[in-house]
Amino acid sequence: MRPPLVHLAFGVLFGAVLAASGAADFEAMRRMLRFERAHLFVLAAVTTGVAAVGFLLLRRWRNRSLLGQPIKWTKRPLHRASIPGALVFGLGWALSGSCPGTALVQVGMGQLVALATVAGVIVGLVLYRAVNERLFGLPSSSCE
Amino acid sequence: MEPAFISPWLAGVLTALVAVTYAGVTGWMLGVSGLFDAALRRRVSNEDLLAALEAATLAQFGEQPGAAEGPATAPSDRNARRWFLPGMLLGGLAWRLLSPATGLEWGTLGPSMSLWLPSLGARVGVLFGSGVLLGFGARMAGGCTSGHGLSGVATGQRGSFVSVAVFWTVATALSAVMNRVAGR
Amino acid sequence: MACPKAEGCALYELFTSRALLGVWKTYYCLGQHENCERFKRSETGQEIDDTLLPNGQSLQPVKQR
Repeated sequence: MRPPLVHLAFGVLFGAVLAASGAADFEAMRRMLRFERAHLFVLAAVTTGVAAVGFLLLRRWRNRSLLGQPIKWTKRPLHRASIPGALVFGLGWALSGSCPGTALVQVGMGQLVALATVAGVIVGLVLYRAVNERLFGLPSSSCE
Repeated sequence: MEPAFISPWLAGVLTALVAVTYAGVTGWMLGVSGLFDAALRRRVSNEDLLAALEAATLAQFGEQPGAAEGPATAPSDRNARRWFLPGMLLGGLAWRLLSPATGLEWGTLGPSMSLWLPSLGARVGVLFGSGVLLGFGARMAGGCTSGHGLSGVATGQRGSFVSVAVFWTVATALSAVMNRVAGR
Repeated sequence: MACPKAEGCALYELFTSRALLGVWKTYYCLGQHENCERFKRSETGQEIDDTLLPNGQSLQPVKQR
C-alpha cells in the first residue's frame, strides 16, 4: 500500500478515535480543565499507559517498520525552550480548549470555526521558525 | 444535551493502539505538531534529491569507487507523512456521520464558548490567536499533546514529562482564572 | 570521537540508500564532526534544514526529467 494512503488511513483512525472519545469536544475539555469531570483524565492515563506497554513490546519485537524504514524512536530531551514553549502552548490550550490535532478533528466534525485555530497554528509555526533564528537562538525542536 | 462519547477506557486503548501500530507500520512516532511542521516544508522528489547528493559527493570528495552502488533508494516517506493531517479531518467527519453526535454547529465550539464570546468575530479572533500560541509553543517545546503527551510520555522521554506537566498546569490555571473573571 | 548527534540526524532519514551517505558519514560523523555544519548549527540553536549537508552546502534537487 502506498505510503501517502497509509498515513492518510492512520490519520482517519486517529481523528475518529479522538472525536469518539470527546477529546475534541470543547465542553468536555473545559470540564476536564476545571476538574469537573474525570473523563478526559482517564483517557489520558489509559492512553499513555497502554501505549507505554505497546511501545515496549514493539521495541522488543522489531526494529524496522512494516513499510521498511527503521523505527524512529524520537528523542525529546529537555532543553531551554521546553518550559517556555509548554507555557505558551498551555495558554493556547486553555483559551481554545483545543490542540493542533483536535482542531483538525473539529473541522471534520463540522465545527468550521476551528479553521481559525488551524490557521493560527500554521502562522505560529512559521512565526517561530522566523523568530527563533533571529532572536532567540533556542535549540530547534527534535530533528523530525 | 450531551453528545455520546465512547467510554474513556475503550477510547484510551484504541488511541494507544493507533499510535503503536502507526509506529510499527510506518516507523514514525505520532506527533501532530511535527506533522504540521513537515507538511509546511518543501516537497522534494527522491530521485532529484539523490541526484543532488551524487553531485555534491562528487564535488566534495571526488570519484568514490563503488559509492553509487548499493541498495536502491526506497522512497522516503517524509512527503507522505503530511497526509496524516487531512486524514484526521476525515476521521472527524467519519465520526460525525456514524455517531449520534448532536448539537454541533459550524460557528462555535460549544454553548459555553458562545456564552463567553457572543460574536462570531470574537470567536474567530480568539481561536486564531490561540492557534498561534499553540503552534508557536508546540514548535518551541518540540511537541504538543500528541507528541509529548502521548508519544513522549509513553516512551519515557524526560522532556515530555516536563512539557506535559507545564502545559497542563498552565492550562488548568488559566481556566481557573477565566472562570473567576466570568463569575461562574 | 563519533558525533553525538549522528543517531538522530535528519540527513540520514532523507535517503535509504546508505552508500553515498556513507562517504559523508566516514568523513564527518565518524571523523571531524566539529566541522559539520549541521553539528555547529545544532549547538547554537539555529534552524537546520533537512537538506543541509555537513559541508554547509544545501542539496539543490536536480530535476531528472
